[in-house]
Order: sequence, then C-alpha cells, then structure tokens
Amino acid sequence: MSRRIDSHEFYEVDKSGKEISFLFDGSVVWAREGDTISSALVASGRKIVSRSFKYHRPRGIYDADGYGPESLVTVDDEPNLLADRVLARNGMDVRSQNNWPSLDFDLAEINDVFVPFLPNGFYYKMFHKPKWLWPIAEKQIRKVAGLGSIDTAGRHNSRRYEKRYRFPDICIVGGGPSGLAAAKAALGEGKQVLLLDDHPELGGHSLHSLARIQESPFSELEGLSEHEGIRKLAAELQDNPNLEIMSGAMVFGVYEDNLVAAQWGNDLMKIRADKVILATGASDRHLVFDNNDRPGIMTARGVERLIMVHGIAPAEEAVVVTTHDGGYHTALLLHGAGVKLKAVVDSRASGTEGVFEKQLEDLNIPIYREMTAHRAHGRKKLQRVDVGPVKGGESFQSFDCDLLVTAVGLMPRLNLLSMGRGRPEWDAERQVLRIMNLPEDMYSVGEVEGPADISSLLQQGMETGLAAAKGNEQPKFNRKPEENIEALPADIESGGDHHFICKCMDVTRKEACMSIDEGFDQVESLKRYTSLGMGPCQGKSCHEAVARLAALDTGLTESDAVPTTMRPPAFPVSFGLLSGRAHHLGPIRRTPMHHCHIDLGVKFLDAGAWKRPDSYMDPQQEALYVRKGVAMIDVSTLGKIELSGPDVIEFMHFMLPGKFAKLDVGRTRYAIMIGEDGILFEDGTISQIEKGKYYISTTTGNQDAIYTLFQWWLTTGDYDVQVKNLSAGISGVNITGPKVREFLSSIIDLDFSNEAFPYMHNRQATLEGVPLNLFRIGFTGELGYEIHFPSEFGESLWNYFMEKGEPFGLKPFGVETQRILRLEKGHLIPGADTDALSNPYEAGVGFAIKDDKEDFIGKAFLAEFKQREIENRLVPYKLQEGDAIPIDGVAVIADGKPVGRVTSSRMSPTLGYGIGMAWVPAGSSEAGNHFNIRSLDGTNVIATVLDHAAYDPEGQILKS
Amino acid sequence: MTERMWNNHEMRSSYDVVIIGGGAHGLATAYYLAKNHGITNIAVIEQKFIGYGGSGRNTAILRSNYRTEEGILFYDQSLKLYEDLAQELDYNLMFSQQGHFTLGHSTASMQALTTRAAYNRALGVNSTILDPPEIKKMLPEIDISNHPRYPIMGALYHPPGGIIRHDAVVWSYARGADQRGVHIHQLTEVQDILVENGEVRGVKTNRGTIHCKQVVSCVAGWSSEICKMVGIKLPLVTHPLQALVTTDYKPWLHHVVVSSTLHIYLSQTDRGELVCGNGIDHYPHYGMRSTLGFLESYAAHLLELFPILHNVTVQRQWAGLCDMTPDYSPIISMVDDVDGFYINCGWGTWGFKGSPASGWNTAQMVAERKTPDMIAAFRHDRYVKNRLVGEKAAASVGN
Repeated sequence: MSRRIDSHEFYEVDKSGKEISFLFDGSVVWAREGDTISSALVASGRKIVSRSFKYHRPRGIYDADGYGPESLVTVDDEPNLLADRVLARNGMDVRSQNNWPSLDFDLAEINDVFVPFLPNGFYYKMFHKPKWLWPIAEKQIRKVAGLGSIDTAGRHNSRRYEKRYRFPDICIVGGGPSGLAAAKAALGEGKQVLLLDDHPELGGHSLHSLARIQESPFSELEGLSEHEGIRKLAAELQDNPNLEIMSGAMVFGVYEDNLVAAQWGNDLMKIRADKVILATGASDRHLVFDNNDRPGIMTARGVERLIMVHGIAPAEEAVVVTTHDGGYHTALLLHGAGVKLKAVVDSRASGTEGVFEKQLEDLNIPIYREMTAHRAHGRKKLQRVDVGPVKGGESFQSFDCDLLVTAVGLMPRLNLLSMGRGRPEWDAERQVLRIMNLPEDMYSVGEVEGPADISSLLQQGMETGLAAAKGNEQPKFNRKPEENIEALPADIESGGDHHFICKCMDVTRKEACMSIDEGFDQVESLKRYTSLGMGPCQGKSCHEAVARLAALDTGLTESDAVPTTMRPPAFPVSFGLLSGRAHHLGPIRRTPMHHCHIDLGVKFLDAGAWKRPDSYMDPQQEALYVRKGVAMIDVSTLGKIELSGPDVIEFMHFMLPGKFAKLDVGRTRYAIMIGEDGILFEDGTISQIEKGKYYISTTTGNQDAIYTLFQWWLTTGDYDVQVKNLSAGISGVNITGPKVREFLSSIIDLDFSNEAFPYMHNRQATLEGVPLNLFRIGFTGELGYEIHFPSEFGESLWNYFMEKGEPFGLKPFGVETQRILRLEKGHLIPGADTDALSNPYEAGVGFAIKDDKEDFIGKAFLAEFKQREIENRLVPYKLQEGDAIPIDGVAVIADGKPVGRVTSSRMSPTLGYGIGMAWVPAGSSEAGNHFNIRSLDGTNVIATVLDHAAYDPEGQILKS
Repeated sequence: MTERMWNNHEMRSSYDVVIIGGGAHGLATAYYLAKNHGITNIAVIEQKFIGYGGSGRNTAILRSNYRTEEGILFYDQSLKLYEDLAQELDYNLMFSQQGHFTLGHSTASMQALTTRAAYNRALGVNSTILDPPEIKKMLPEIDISNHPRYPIMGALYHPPGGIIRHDAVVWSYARGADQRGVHIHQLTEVQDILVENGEVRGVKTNRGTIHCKQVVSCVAGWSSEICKMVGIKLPLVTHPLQALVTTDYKPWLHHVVVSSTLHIYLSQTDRGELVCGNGIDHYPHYGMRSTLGFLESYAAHLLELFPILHNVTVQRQWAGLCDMTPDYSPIISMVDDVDGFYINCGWGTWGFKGSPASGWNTAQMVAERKTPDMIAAFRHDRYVKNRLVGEKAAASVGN
C-alpha cells in the first residue's frame, strides 16, 4: 500500500527521485531518493515505528522532524538514530528497538497495563526490602532496560570522521525565511556568511506553506506563494561567492565565546564567527489528552512536510485539531492530497478569520468550534478520536480516522539560544517561552522569537542580518496581535494515566503533578525525580510543558530556571564524530635511534609520551653484560636544558635546593628539585660545560614541566637568564661497564684516564666531526660515560658505536636493565620510589640540599621537615637467597597494619638474591633492621635494610 | 493521598544547629544528628534546591579502595553505611555493587594500584590486581591489545564498588531528616554568619536572621565563600569537573571502569545510559559551563578503551564544582578561633562516596563538640602543621 500522491490540488508534486529500497525489521520498504527513513515508512503504510521507553507503548512517526523520541531506530550498526533525520539509502538495514519478540507484538507492553496500580515514582518505592531482593530485581531490570543495542560484534569503524574549522564574519543557524533574509542582508554588506540548516533543502517550514507573500523587503518575492518564494530566495543566494551553505548540518552546541559546533555529514564543524545569528525556528506544541501518543497522531508541520516535501499523504481519513488559522492550512493540504477530512476542531469561539479558514469553509468541510481532542482510541494505530468542549466535560462526538493532526501553535526552538546562556522566561501574554538576554555578538530572529507571518519573518530577518553586519544591537521586534497564539486547550482534565507530557520517558501530566505534591516543587528537582526531559529529546519536546506546569497553579515553584537548563548537545552526537582522528591522545615520541632498536629486536616500554627500549633480551642477562663487559643504552629521552646569563647562579640557587657557585667548568654535580611544598619531585645532574653555560639533565617525564617552571619564574623579571630547551635537539647514549674506557679510548681522541677525566666531570670531544659532550656519571653503578650529540647524528652514531664496539663485546641494554642496575646501586628514581608526600630528607637525598642560602623554592617547608623527626625512610633492602621477589607496590606490614610500601623490587643478577627499595617506619630503617613485606596473595618475606647499596657500597668502582 | 517527602516550613527565629548546604553531606549530617544524637531543632539552608550541587552532578560511583589508612577506614565506613541505607531509609537507592576497575597504563600506575590493593587488603577492604587477560574476561569488549596509545597493563579491581541513584540518596536523607523534625529551607541564601567574641551567634539569610550557636558549612565548591564570612581561609582551589551521559542502550557494561591515564571513568545505569566523567578541568573556575573540548577529548580517550562505542551517542553534558585540597583528602573540622563553627568541605571529586560517613562523623562532632577519631586526620589545620593525608599519591582521577 503506497501513500505516494501523484498530484496535489495546490502544487506540483516532484516525482523525480529514483526508486530505492531498504529493509525495516527484515521487510523491504520502497523509497524514493530524498526520502527519510520515516517518510518512506509512512509512504509504505507503516504505523508503529518504535516502542516507548518504560511502558513499551506503540509509537509512530509524529513530527517527522526528529524533535521527539518516536523515530529512534537502529540503522546498520548504529543504534539510537532518528529515522526522521536519516536519509534513506539503497540497501540499508533498519531495525526497530526496545521490543520483544517483535515491534508489532511486544510482550513488555504488559507494563502499560500496570501503570494505574503503581505508586508514583514506584521504582524508588519497590524492590529494596528485603535487602536480598534488589540484586535479583536489578538483574531482571537490566535485561529489559535501554533502547538500542550497542553492536559488540565490532562493525563500528565503518565511518571516518574529520574535524573542520570555519571562521566566517557571520554564522547563521537556520535556513528558513528569516535566516535566508539575514544572510541576504549580511551578504549585501560584503560579509562572509556561513549558513547552516538541518535539512537537505533550504527554506525551513516555508517549503510547505501555501501562504501568499503580501509584503517583502525583497520585492521580487511579493505575490508568490511562500514555498515558491523561499525557493527563489534560496536559489538567488546559492551562487554568492561570499556565502557558504551547509545543508543537512545539525548544530548541536553553542559554547563559550559563541563557539558553534555542528555535525555535517562525517565532519565535526567548529565555527568561530564574529556574530552568530540563531534562526532556529519553532516546533508544534504538544496537545495533552488521553492517549495522545498513539501512532497516527501527528503534528501539523510533520504532516505538511510529508505532503509537500515528500509527496506523501499520511493517511486515509483525518481530523485536525487546531487553535489558529494554521490548522486550516494543514487541512487544506490534506484535502488537496486526497485525504478525507472528517472534521476540523477549533478551540476558538470566534476571532479573526484567517485566509485558510475561509477557504476551508467554502469546501464544506465540517468545522467544530470551541472543541478540542479529548481522547484517542486504537492501540497499534489510531482508530477514533473523541472531541468535546475545550473546558472539558463530556465528549461531544467521535470520529473514525487514522490520522489526528495537532495544529495547536508553535513553541520556539530555544536550545541553542539557551546554551549561549540566554535565560528563558515564560511570556504569559503570548504563551511562549522566550529568551530576552542573549550574550554579546549573538542575535536571534524568526519564529524562535515567537510565531510570525512570512512578511514579518523576512523583514525581521533582513533587519537582524543588517544589524549583525554593522555590529549594531539586536533589533527589537513587535509582534502583531494576530500573531499571538492561543493558550493550549486541554490543560484541563489531563490527570489520566495516559496524558503524556514527556514521551521520551513516558511521563504523564498526572505523574508530574503528583511528584510536585510529593515535594519536588522546583522544575529541576521535578526533572530529576520524574526523568521529565532527560530522555533522548533532552526536553526539546517537553520543556514548554514544564514551563506551563510552573505557570499554572500546580504548586511548582517559579524559580529562576524555567524551564530546566538546556544542556548540549541539542542532538545526540556520536563518540566517533567527537573523537575524529583522536588528536587529543598526543603523539608518540621516538628517539632518533628508534629503528636501530627495532632492528636489534627490542621490546619497547611506554614512558609517558616516549617509546623507550625496555630490553633486548632477558634483562638479567643484559645486566651482566654491563657488570662484566660493556653495554650501551639510549638516553635521548632525558631532558636537556641549558641555562646561561649574568644571573644564572642566582637563578639556579633560587630554583634548586643545591649550591652551584663552586661548580667549575668541566664539573658535573648531582642535583634535586623540590616543590614549594618541599616535596622531592626530580633529580638529575648539572654541569658547567663552558664558562657560564650550565647544562641540566632532567628525567624523561619531567623535561617539559621543568622547562615550563624555569620560564614561569623568569617571567618575574628579576633574573637576566636565558633558558634553552635542547631536549629534542640533543640525543645521547650511556656506555658503561668495566671495558668502556678501553672501548671509548679506541675511537674518541680524549684522555679517558681517571686522572684526566675523573668521576662527576664532563669533557668535550669530536668523533668523525660530530661534536660530543661527555659526562662521567654512574647511575648504573659501573664506570660509565653519558655521551650527548646533535640528534641528527643519533642513528648513525648508535650504529657506529655498535660496529666499533663489537670487538669489545658491546651490547645494547634497556630501561628495565638500567632499573635493576641502579637498584643494585641504591639510586632512587623520583616518581617511582617517591610520591607526592616524599620529603627529601626521608628519601635520603638530603645531602643535595644546601639550605644555608637566601630564599629558594621550598625553603620554608624544608626547614620544618628538618626540625621534625624522621618518621619514615626510603631504604635499600635485600632478601634472603631463594625468597620470592614481591611485585612493585606491595605493602610493608607491622603488627598486621600497613606501615610502608615497596617501591622497587627486582632479582639482582649480580648478587643472586632479591633487592629493592621500600618506605619503612624510621624505627626499622637502620642498616640491619628487618621488616615484613606482604604480597597480595598473603605470603610474607622478611627484608633486611642495607646501609647504602647492595653493589659496590663504597663506590670504588665508580671513582676509579 | 500523596505522601510528601519533606515539608516546607516557616523559618523559626532560632535553631539549635544550622546546616548550610542541602546536599548529601548537609542532609546526612542533619539526619544523623537527629537519629544518633536526638538533636532535631535543625535548619538545613539550601540556596537552590536540595541536591543542586555536587550531590546531583556526580557520576554516582561508590568505592572504598583508597590509598591511606585514614582514607580507607573512612570510606569503608561510608560504603558500609551505603550498603544498608536503602533499608534504613526505606527508599530504593538502586545501589548496584557491580565491581570497580581502575586501569593501569604504566609501570608507575601499576605500582600505585598495587599499593592501594595491598593497603586495602591489610585493612580488610576487598581489592586485588588483575592482569589484562583477567580484565578481558570480565570486560569482553575492552581493548587490551598493544594497539591503543596507552595499552592496558593491569587493573585494581574492587568488588564492593559500584553505582547508586545519587539523587535518591539526597531525597531519602531529606525525608529521614524531615520525619525527625528537621526543617529544610530551599531557595534560601546565606548572606552572613554572625560571630561575637569568637562564638557563633546566628546566620543571616535572605529570609531573615536565625539565631543559633552551631553552624555547619557543607557547601563544597562554595566553601571558600562561606568560610570567608567567619574569617577562615581555606587551602581550597575550586575546579570544574565535566561529565556526560549517552542515550539509552541495552545494558552492556556491568562494571565501573576508571582510567587515570586516560582521565575517564564510565558505568552504565539500570536505565541504560552510560554515565561518563572526566578528571577535573585544568583551570580553577566557579563556572559550570560545559565545553566542546571535553566531549572531544573524552570521546577520543574512551574509544581507546572501548572501540565498539564508536557509534554511541552523547545525550547530555554538564559540569560541577570540585573543592580540591592539596592532599586530595577532605576537611571535616572544628575551628579553634570560632566556637560553634564546623567545616565540612574539600571533597574534590570524591565527596559523594563519603556522604554517609561524612554526615555520621560530622553529626558526632557537632553533638559532642569534639573530633571523632575517625576524622581526626581531616582537621583543617593540618595544612598549617604540614600533616597531609596522602591521597594525592593515589591518582589524579579519583573516581
């Protein structure tokens, strides 16, 4: 049964669309290109499209515009999409949601039967006693809750999303008559304009209006009917080079400083404009009556759209309920499409007779005045409508029909305006919610300011476009009295169990009123209690109903937020779109030697942003190469910051707790950094490499933070110091082991003897023309040299060392191996062995503090720490041979209570037993003390505190 | 016919105790003062509506797997009170003890998570460390491969953790307090606190002045403003924290999942929405306006964990305020200089979890005019004395 119309009395039907088909719940649905899923379903005669959230009531296409929840479906692998908004594509697989076993026969509709027997807010009042009941009940609830299903099979990467940016002079949201008029005016002033509209074709509601344009600021439109005129206006603008049009763009948010966000196909558009004009239009208001959600009850604009945009007559027999002349327009359109009109029911007694009202009277269609809809009959589809007096009471007559059209006035689409932080107010005289105070550089015009005729919309659109272009204030518009809309009928007697005000969450007027009586008498608490407005439409279709509740004498407090806060997004947007290509995750940082490591079969370790070599083979074995031969590690990720300038010493003395005045050229010193709270957060070395040039080597993780910190303090302006972050420009390796001196002497022209190049000194040299800085330091506990060079030589120098080192048995080693080696040596790693409460004295690096100097960062707290007794201490420890090695992080237990923790724990390949570092209470922190480490499985090992290091405690190896 | 949850009252000219802030903390304090200590002549003053602040804006996650002994014992008490709260208050709070994962993506975070597990276990709180295959068994759709930018290395798993219907906690505490005679005054703004000779004398509101000798401030993000009225400076910095919910889906995720590295946490309610939260915004601010940047970065991070959520749509986003302390632990304290004034604040991102224990102990402190042992570590002057509680070490995303 196709509801396509071949001809219409009042306009020419476009039949050009190619025929396509898709599946709906497995059945073939024929469509025309240009159809939405909804229009194609209506054309095919389908009534039920979805099931409601709580009571599983059958729902059909309602406004054909996606402002409510009725058209939610799953399309291919995408759940919860609006059929009203998705264009039909050949071969797509559309499935209904939230029903079992089928859409037409859904067992859960039984819920609906129980409604009258349940207390208000029943879900808070049941299932919690006795205590064991809830987990069982919850399990059942979770089986039936929700709408669409997430596709866990993983067919989710079908789309690729991009992010795009626009910076027009003026951004106009809404391509209806006022938006188009505003665009035309702004273009006339030479502005760059971006016009976004949420439909495939510009024109808004004017596309389905037969009204004559009497007056227009654009005289060429006068005398045309509205749908012709608007197409003419749109076509004229289409070619303007200063105008960009985005049709089918869903604007979902207006954020700080008028950042406009939209989904345009697969693109997330981020728009910054000088001025934003919101011409978002209006939707039909919702009439509240018994069973006002049945399939076959539709809004006037939804019906008009189906007829004039899609060429579809939505039913056989119709009743129109109206409060204004617009309802007669809808009735005429239905009549022209061949639908039998059983009645037009008008709530007004008399008043201005509109042009369409007159025409309809001439067609002898029955008109009933001072009446409204009381009740709808039929479950899966509308069968009959009772109409009766506006004031309620007995129904007057019933009409058999399969379509009830509600044309009961418009409500502005305020969401975006409200997100811009305009505050909605209820205008009782005009019966609309309005936003009076928009932020700077934001304008609003058109039906979003209240209903108006086409002449007003064009005129006011033009004036607003001009005002925005010239930077003037928002013009003030006076609506004509005949543009005011009537109060909604049937706000009376709507206390039944099926008078819905929120169709997303199945909330009835009665439920709302009872909740107010229970104490939820502010709109925000009412929302939270009933879920009113918290469903998929986010209040777009019910916020006015809430405002009216507050305005009527229901006991709802009129607070400063009427209706509830409208939050972004205005339309649901997918994580895929928002994520795009995920630039937020940060790039992967690789050292220049990265590919050398891969060639050597490395296992990488993620260290912050960096990929670092963890190890190339068993780390225990690698460690032995260092201890017995010679090995090399890539240390390019370390921070390298150069300080110079007249005040450099003074600056370093302020920034760091150490002293550096006596650090001569060629010397290197261990240094720590502490925060203003006295907490240790960093260690590294400082070298004077040339006269007045200090070279700071930081840990990998802190390089950016320290550079920023230096710059932060330099902005105080008190120091004449230059800071250079050389971290990326300089790379490095550490070559270490007993044979390192022999190896390096063979390739670098430098005296490596202990006398000429002692421990904690630095030297400069060249290798094959590449400048090198060499630092003799000993993190691994073995004789070693850190060699720094320009990063562009990184890869070739690594390969050069590997090749030249082969005769000496040179091997690569990784970070895990280095962690074992330094642990044998008892060297701490800030962040790994310390945390946000570690004071440097307790961490055992108090030796690096020289507090007999003027103010420096953390001085006050250090003084306090020093006065205080040591309470806990970071100590190196050893286990017995054969003891299991605990994992990093487990607790130190005394008297059954956790009193400390293991920070690093490894098997020592050199010594053959477990070693580590742990925070322990001061009382058990002396060398030779024992403490108890408990693993997560409950097993305990006894550790013995070491004096300094397990390996080379006196440092003889390092210094010789 | 309909039974009211709470009543509107004329404001009395004096009360024994005035509690500023009608959130979970203020209402729980009122409830336990009435129930445990028989003090019922209490006014709870709320500027907007009860549950307007953090109590209605959090992501409703409950857990007790903290890092320090003080934190673990306090939140354990809280969780245990939560377990019986629905029965006690005769209201279905929909507490779903579905288990709570904190994922680790680095060796450093695995170490910190292990310490939490170890401390929890030693103090009788159920926590353990799971490796990636064990995680995958319980969360089949999670990506444990090497493909993500920050691969998952393991998780702290805490079976008693879960989610609850947060607004219902507020309402049922309010009802419980109301039934015992407590007056709840909504839409009432505190303009000043009257102090004479170092003693609290009353509270000035837009609806008149109340005489009282004890005032409790339970206003979280607005604490600095209230405490300024009695001349107390707090080391609080207020940051916004943003969250979102998706549209409703058939329940698919049956555990709470948190990742500090990715700054995200999520759970799925019994209604079917995914409730998703972020770490705090980097900037201090009192504004509660949502940002697009949050949506974008949250989405990118979430898809790292659960690529199947690509087509899941965001329905609503919002923000709340977090009153951050330097040590990520709360302040529940008497004040030496102002007799009768009590501070309950510094709840950061973890306030909702602590509400019952916070109310319980605050009530005891007010009733007995001395600090209960359970909250001795949370005194406000610990910052002056440099005696911090080390929860900051636990994680930057504390949910």
